[in-house]
Amino acid sequence: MRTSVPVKVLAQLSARNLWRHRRRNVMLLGAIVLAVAFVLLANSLLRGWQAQMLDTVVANLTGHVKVLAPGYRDDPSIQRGFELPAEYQPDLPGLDGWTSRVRVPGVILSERDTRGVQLVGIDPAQELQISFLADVLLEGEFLASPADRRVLIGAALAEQLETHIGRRIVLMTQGSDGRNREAGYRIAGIYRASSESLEKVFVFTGREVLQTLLDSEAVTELSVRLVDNGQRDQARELLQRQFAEQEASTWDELEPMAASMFRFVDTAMLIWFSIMMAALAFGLVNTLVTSVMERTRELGMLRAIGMQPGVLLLQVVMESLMIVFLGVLLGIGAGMLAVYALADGIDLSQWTAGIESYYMSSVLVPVLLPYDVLRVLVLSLLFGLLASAFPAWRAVRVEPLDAMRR
Amino acid sequence: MSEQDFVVQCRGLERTYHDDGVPVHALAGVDFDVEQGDFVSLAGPSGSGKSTLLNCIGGLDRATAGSVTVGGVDLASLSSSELAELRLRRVGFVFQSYNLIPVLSARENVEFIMQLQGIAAAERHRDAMAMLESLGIGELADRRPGELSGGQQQRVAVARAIVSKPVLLLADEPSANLDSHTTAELLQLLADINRQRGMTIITATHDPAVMAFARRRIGLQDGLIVSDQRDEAAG
Amino acid sequence: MIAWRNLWRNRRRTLFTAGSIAFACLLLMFSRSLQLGSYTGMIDAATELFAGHAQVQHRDFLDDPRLRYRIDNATDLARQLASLPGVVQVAPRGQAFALLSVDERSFGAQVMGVEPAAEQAISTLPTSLVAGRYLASGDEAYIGSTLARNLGAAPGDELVVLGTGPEGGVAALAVTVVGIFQTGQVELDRGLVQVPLDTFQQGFYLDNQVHQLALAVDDLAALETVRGDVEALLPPELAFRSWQQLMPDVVQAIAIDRASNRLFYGILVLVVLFSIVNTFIMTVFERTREFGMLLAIGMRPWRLIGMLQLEALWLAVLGSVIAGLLAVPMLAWLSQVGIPMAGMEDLMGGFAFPSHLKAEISLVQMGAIPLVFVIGCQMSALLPALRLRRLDPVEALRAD
Repeated sequence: MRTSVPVKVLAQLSARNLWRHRRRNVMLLGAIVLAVAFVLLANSLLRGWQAQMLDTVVANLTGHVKVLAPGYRDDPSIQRGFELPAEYQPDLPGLDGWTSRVRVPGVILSERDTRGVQLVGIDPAQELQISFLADVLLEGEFLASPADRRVLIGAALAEQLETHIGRRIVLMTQGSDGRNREAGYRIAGIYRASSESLEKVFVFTGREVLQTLLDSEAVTELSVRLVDNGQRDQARELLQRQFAEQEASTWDELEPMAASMFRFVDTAMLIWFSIMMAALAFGLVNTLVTSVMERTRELGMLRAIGMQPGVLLLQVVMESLMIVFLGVLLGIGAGMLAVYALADGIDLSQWTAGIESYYMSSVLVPVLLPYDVLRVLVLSLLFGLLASAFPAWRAVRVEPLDAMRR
Repeated sequence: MSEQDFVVQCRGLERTYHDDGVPVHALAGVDFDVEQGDFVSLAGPSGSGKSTLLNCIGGLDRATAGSVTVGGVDLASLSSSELAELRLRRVGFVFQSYNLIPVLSARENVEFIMQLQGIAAAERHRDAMAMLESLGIGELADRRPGELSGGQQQRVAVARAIVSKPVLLLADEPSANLDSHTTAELLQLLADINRQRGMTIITATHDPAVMAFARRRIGLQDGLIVSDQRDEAAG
Repeated sequence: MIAWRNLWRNRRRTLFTAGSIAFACLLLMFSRSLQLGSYTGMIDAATELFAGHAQVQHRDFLDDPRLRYRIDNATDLARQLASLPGVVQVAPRGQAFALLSVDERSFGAQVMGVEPAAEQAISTLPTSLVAGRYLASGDEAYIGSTLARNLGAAPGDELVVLGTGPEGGVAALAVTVVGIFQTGQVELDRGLVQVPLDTFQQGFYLDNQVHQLALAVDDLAALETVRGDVEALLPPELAFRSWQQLMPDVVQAIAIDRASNRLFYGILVLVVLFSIVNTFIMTVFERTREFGMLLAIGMRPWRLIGMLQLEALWLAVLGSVIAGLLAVPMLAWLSQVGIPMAGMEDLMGGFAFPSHLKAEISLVQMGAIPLVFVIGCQMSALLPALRLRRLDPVEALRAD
């Protein structure tokens, strides 16, 4: 005859023990719910931040993957360009959009002032699929084609230059022969982007127009946007194979600052989780140990009538897991409600200047990933298991003779 | 009489405790056998060693020297988990302070030990109810211990101890928390069980009423047996 | 005294509860101190790098930095400012946008005319050099590392500066690169070149005129007092700009950090308070019999409640003392030595950041954190203790 582990009766016993001291266990449950709900909300806000970081970086002309000529990052000039085969079309899994650009530093002059900027020659139709230009508020007209001889400048820059739509400006930069070239262009439109620094830096014109000015057939970059960030390494490999002479890099290699902040957010989530759980642990262990100590005689009796110590241990662990599981479920529910309540996002516009440095935009929208919910659930249960170790050990140490003591 | 007929055999049983380094001889060499179906009371003043002897027989406490054999098995040769198994299947306990699980009803308390034994739900339920009814507390089956009187709780405890049909029932001061009327009822109950089911019962007590009910009365003093009387008419 | 002894009747529980208070207290003390330290570090690094603690500028220069928004008679004003109490350094600077060329290569950048001696006293830019030396005098240039790379410039190279003068005429300078700096600040490294102020003023046709007077003060906390003194000296077209006005991004980055941390601390304290309430529920439950006895012998319920409150007080004090004993020496050490931040620069969102993060111990904070727990403990204990008002001694004595 085999002694079976009576899981069902142990579960019943655990549940009733918890219910018997419902006042204190409700408090404990409250603490767990609060901590879990907060961790989940914080998690989804941090995820929202990460999503914004990624959006910002990818949209700011970086893309998920970019092909550059070797040396371009140190010396961004048309000499460090490369020629794209005619009718080139990238063939990548998960491709969302792509474009090639000519991007060189230059100077913009109006009648009133002069500024240093990045000159970007674009294919407007392709550009609108992948970069922040798709989301700007535009006054005037957008560029019509890669051969459009007009320019698009940012609102902040227009203000500095004291210029307007329809006025002429002069662009000056270094051509493919190393000599300075300049030409006059008319302003087609003025864009207002999420950040002033974008407006001050980027001046757009048709790609072919800029190539003519630079006297070159080359482009300086090929930028690719993917549907899923997770596919970027694969896309980089494929592009590297296609452009063996050039360098294919992912956004995190191109923007190490954003990438390390991105990774830091991952770590921050775990740190917050650990701190909350550590704070909880004191209360949980305290309550569980009390529950064991109160029942010393009962546990001794169970041992005396022949319950194996392992079964006793299981009962304490079950009691811990039960309250943690209930708390985590309620906490996840409350956290989801909180996320839902904040679904329109938190308005950060009062801190416009500060949030740019954190790659945030003015509204922080929480992002709830099923993976995070699952992780909170699994880690919390693991924590419940860990927290029951000490009380369970106390329970096992109860001797059958303790049942006899008065 | 063959060896197997003795349910319990103690040989040179000693148990020494160390209280702050001073050795206390709770049992100082006890030899006795208990036959199948007997009703034995261990009597003696506090500190005479009767509880220790009972605990040694039940496998709750281990002998310092000598041996205890229950149903032909030497307890010293068993691991603690095998001892637990022995207690679960072959020994029933009735404690002085009932020791019921407060969060379980009377029936669930009785069923609990059968659940540990892995007995199927239907059988468990039937046996537990039958047991409670035969002890006259069938209508209280769904009450929790806190809602029962002392005598009723002790009946539930007895039901729990004998429901799994152990060969040996050990009762340590079973009447300590009961009034004389309830004690008489309990003793009648134990005597019935002993007679009808042939279950061996050993009680440790200093209550004369309990001693009077036993067929064999063993007197203990300072860890030694000082008297051993048999009264076939009792019980 | 009875309350204190009662605490030790259940030593394990007391230690666990005090432990949770100590844990949260310690965590708060640490992160508050490091947070304050990091803010100070950020502000110091940002103000010392370049901007100064405050600047005197033309009223319109902050929003729209143009050559024509300038400060006349700079030398006199600088002298007057330097003599104000609290002001330790004044650095005059001229500023204009220009096209820089080395051989055939050209880039646009800010050209800044500075007094090398004053600059060395107020800014860490002169010591951020990676090649050559800082400016001395004459036709010299000190340029950012990215700019130097873009231009292909090295110390010794000739640099031509072409800009627009105040009247619209061409302003030109020919200077020699003497040094290259690297700050990690993209805007400075990519877009700034310094030349001696005299050279700048000659080239841009400025006559004892500058665009900013950067100020360093001895006590940043008293900056607003300095503002009053400075503003009394200034003609109406000039304005005093504190570092908060010059660098709103730093102020706001700190504000965001503060706001998110406040939420985190709040939740942490709440979680701990829940477990303290729990402790007192258990305490009251276990001692129901004892309380019944005390009531039976004639103790008034409010005295029992008072005793529990006293126990709560001791508990909070115990936790705080443990936290304090652990925190203070470590923080004192951290406030002197600091945590090396090498490799962490990327995290600071491109803000200038010191090489070591030093803790900053604020006595107010160190006092406020335990106080939060003392008050929290009192409230947590009161919740279950109030039940004692309705406790029936006879019932209580029968409790198991």
